[in-house]
Amino acid sequence: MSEPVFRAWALPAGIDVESRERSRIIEGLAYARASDAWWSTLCARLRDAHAQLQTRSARDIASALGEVGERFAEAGDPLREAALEWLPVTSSLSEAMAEHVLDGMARDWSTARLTRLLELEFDPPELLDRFVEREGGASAHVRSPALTLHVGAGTVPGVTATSLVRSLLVKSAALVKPGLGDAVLPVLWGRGLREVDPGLADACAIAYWPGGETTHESGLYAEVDAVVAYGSDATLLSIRDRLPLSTPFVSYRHRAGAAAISSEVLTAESLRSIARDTAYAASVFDQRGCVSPHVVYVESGSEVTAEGFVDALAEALDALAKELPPGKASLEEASALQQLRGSAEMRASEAASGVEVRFGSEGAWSVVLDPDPTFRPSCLRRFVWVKPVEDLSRLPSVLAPIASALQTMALAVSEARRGGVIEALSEVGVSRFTTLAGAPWPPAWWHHDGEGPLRALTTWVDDESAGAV
Amino acid sequence: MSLAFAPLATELEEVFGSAFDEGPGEDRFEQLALRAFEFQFARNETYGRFCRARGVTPASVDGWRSIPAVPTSAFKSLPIVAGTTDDVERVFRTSGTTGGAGSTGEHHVRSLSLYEASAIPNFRRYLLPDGVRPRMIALLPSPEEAPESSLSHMAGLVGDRLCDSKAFVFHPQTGLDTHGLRALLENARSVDEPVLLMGTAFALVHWLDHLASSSTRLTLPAGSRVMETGGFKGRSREVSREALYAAISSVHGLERSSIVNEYGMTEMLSQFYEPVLLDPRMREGTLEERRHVPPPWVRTRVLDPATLEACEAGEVGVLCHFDLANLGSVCALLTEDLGRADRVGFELLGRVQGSSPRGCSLAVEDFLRAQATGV
Repeated sequence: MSEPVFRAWALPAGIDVESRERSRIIEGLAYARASDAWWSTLCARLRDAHAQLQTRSARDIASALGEVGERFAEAGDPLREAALEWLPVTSSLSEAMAEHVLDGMARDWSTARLTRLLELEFDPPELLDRFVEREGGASAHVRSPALTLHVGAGTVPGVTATSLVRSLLVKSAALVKPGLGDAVLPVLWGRGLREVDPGLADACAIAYWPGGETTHESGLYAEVDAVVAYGSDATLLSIRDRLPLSTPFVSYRHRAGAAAISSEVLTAESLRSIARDTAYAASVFDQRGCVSPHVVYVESGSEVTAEGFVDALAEALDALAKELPPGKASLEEASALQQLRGSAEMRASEAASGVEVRFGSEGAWSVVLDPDPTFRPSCLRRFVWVKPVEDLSRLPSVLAPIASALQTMALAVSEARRGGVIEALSEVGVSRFTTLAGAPWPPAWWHHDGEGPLRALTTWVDDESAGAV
Repeated sequence: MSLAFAPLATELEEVFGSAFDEGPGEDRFEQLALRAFEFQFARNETYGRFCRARGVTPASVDGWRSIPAVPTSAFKSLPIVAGTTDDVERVFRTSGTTGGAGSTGEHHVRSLSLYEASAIPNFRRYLLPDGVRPRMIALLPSPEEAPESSLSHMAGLVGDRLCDSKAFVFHPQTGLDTHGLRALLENARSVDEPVLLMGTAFALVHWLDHLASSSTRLTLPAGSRVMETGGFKGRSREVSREALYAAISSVHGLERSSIVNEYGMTEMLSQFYEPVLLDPRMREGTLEERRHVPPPWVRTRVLDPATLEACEAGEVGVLCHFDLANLGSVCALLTEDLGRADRVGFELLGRVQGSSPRGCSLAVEDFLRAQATGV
């Protein structure tokens, strides 16, 4: 019997790959190889499909997309089954975590949520379909690029599929290049669309290829009308350098999260649940999300000591590692963890350093208590810094040096103090505040890095001439 | 057993001086390693507590392989010295290849004499096995201009002890002095005296670019050789090692086998070389077939980073060194360098980046850059 193979592409009807190649990094994954001419043909097909998309209403598209998206949440559905089979292989998340992440992502892929997203971004969503009269007599119409290239990053599964869904929602044909570890979900989305709505399936092409290995990449940048990319600064700069000045570029840089717990909410009674929620925030995606906290700031003066919190957090991380085990570490990840753990152990061994360490077995999780409030990046894999601060009002100055890299701030703060904390931290650049348990799951309509997820892809056309003659 | 630094350091200096001729064999190495551990355990209280937390003491340790290794990144977090900082003769600092604030490592060196005792015989063995006393020209800052650079310090020692003359043609402010370098090489050629060129891959690429811009070839006298170090860990300009060596060969008229790579780190006082000048098979082989070898007072193991157990021969893991020359700080070092070992030595694979899943979380390098530049 031959071993199973995942074909990491989904293409418009009538277009087949010219040749295929096996990934040298992920066993069982094959990807498409094709000539420059093939890519040009593909882009032309997608543009044709874009014209077809304009004849449909945005609400209609949202409902068709929802029909596919809901299948990922439905037990026994072949799409969900395929996702559960291939996600652990490709994303290096454990089976249980892969399923948890799929459930979390699929929550936002229902018709109801996608329609809500449309309504929150465009009031009314018919703005995407035609000119709609606005207050003051003028009317407006929201248009999208004919063909948008989506370049996905590493392995938070679902991010690239969501980018595809957003593109179709605003009626922009999509050419999607997922990251290697996130190839499964967008490809399955393409296959699901083929079954449910061939018109939408023809408006997108999903194909993984190893970055830099093929020659067609630079040609594509000249051919598409817009680019959405997720990645490291180096990746994003290299894309930007190759784009024509006239091509809109929506970029999502890698970011880091943090958490803050105020003294009045941390009590003997709340300790376990706050520790559990903190552990959850840091463990989902094995901490690889830009929403995942690296550092937890604990305000001094509560009835629980910092050491007490660290112990409770360690216990909660350990329990969660049994429920949602970590994935297998690569050599580089395991090495980075040894370095960070070992350095923390050395500091903990220094006289009067105040540093304490708690480590899970087999690298499953790590907590380091460090009196130095400076934000330190974690090596991921559920490595959490706990840093006591005298007062949360110190956080803006502590975090200011890394403000441009910060994204999500998970808060456990009383209602009375919440407004002040948020006001001060948003001033230094934090763009998302949430609860500890909610940190991994921003809603579909979150302003990712401060921008509307659909609006970022579109342009407004104003007509002030109506009724003038 | 004595816990004083000086007698043990003196003994080690003697061992290093004769080691290439007569050992030390495994028993002698084991004995010296355990004594070094006992000294470091007692005189570096931080390291002592670190070892105790891992359940290892001089009384319980069953061999040098069980001595707890300190990760090299710890040198960025705290001073690591067996003794007090008053005992330290010199502090070497890393150049901070990951960039940004707070990323500089420090090596507190108690005895420059012990450093010299390790550096000189090792260098002579692998760069000057034929007894030649070349003119040394280093594409490095001089030790006076860069007192914190262990590489410049070593080049200074090599120039003084093993060469006819020494010159440094890289300046911290103005960069590579191409005119000076050219004059020195032309002069050596006019009197037909062999040259030892020492430099980082980065500086050598810069020099070759300079010569290429004027299509200059500058054949070096017979017996000349090059020590090249670093630069293949993903930093600076992307030039393959194959291309760099081919360019050096063609521009300077040298056999590729006259170019020797040095692998060293600020955190470790001994160096590793490729025995190209000694081993006929390596001389004729490809660059991929080259291996680094430790001097007899160093042991290198390849460990699985997940478990810290030894890898099988040929399996990729992280390099863990035990260097007796590090008596004044810590001998057992866990590096971030990936490699694999065989019977000849080990193959350095560098710090592979970009292949590991990062998700959308910020990479440490990007973070450090953001912090340094405020972008």
